[in-house]
Amino acid sequence: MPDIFIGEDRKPEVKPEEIKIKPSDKAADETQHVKTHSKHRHSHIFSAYCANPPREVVFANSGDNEELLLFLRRHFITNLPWILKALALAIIPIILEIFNSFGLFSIQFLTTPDKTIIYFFYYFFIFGGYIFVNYVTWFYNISLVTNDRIIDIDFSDVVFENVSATKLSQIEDVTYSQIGVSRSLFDYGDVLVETAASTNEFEFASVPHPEEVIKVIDSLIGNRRHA
Amino acid sequence: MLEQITALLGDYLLKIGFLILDGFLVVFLFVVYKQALAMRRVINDNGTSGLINIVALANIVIAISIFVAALVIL
Repeated sequence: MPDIFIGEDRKPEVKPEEIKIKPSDKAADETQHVKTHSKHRHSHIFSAYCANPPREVVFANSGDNEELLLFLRRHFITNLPWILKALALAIIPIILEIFNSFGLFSIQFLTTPDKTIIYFFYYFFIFGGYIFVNYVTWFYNISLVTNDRIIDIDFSDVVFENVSATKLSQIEDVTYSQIGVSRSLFDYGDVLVETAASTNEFEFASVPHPEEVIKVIDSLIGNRRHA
Repeated sequence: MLEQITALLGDYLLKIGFLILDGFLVVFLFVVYKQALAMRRVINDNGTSGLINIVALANIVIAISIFVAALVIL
């Protein structure tokens, strides 16, 4: 292993203006920059923005040299409406029991075993059905940016599944909008990717740090064009 | 007599209604499980996707258990 502190056999110094980086090198540099300079590199069950996700994250039809650079979901705060609805539904039986104890509402016709199984079913419906389905819907609504493509995976209402992808070379323009108090406060917005095909538009809805997403995609497109 | 018949009818209605609801939930959860499996083939976040499938399967088992318990208890 060469010792970097030994000053012998030094190559002649090259002035900064003389260094010319090849476009392909620049692309590799930019990819490396995305991989190393991001604060959000960890993926967990609630993560919505992951730069350079771990190698365990794999997607269908990925190319041999294709590297995943960004892994995006809707910001977790967008789940707040259904979480609040679930909480409201969860306290209904408690309110009924309180009313029952004060004699304002009667559920005396139900025996204790009946009530037990009905309440168990009710809470199972909320946690196993409502919350779980909403979580899965959020979890599988994913947008991916690789060094070759942009992939948008839509999953909604359990039965709707749509996967679309486009090559970086086909992208014409990338814009983002961040309108509203909560979007500014929690730093999330919609990223719109326009492609050469007139009908094909990719929308990464409510993704965190849209400015960073734009930067990454812009730099990838720029490098492609230079290359 | 009429009150007894009404009470009995009410019990049966409650039981049948509950079983139908739970049956629908089992079917729905089965669809969720199949979709979760299908989505795992599209994108696989090694640990988490597997966890979701396990939870989806556990939900089906719990829903079937509730169905059986309702048949016995109600």
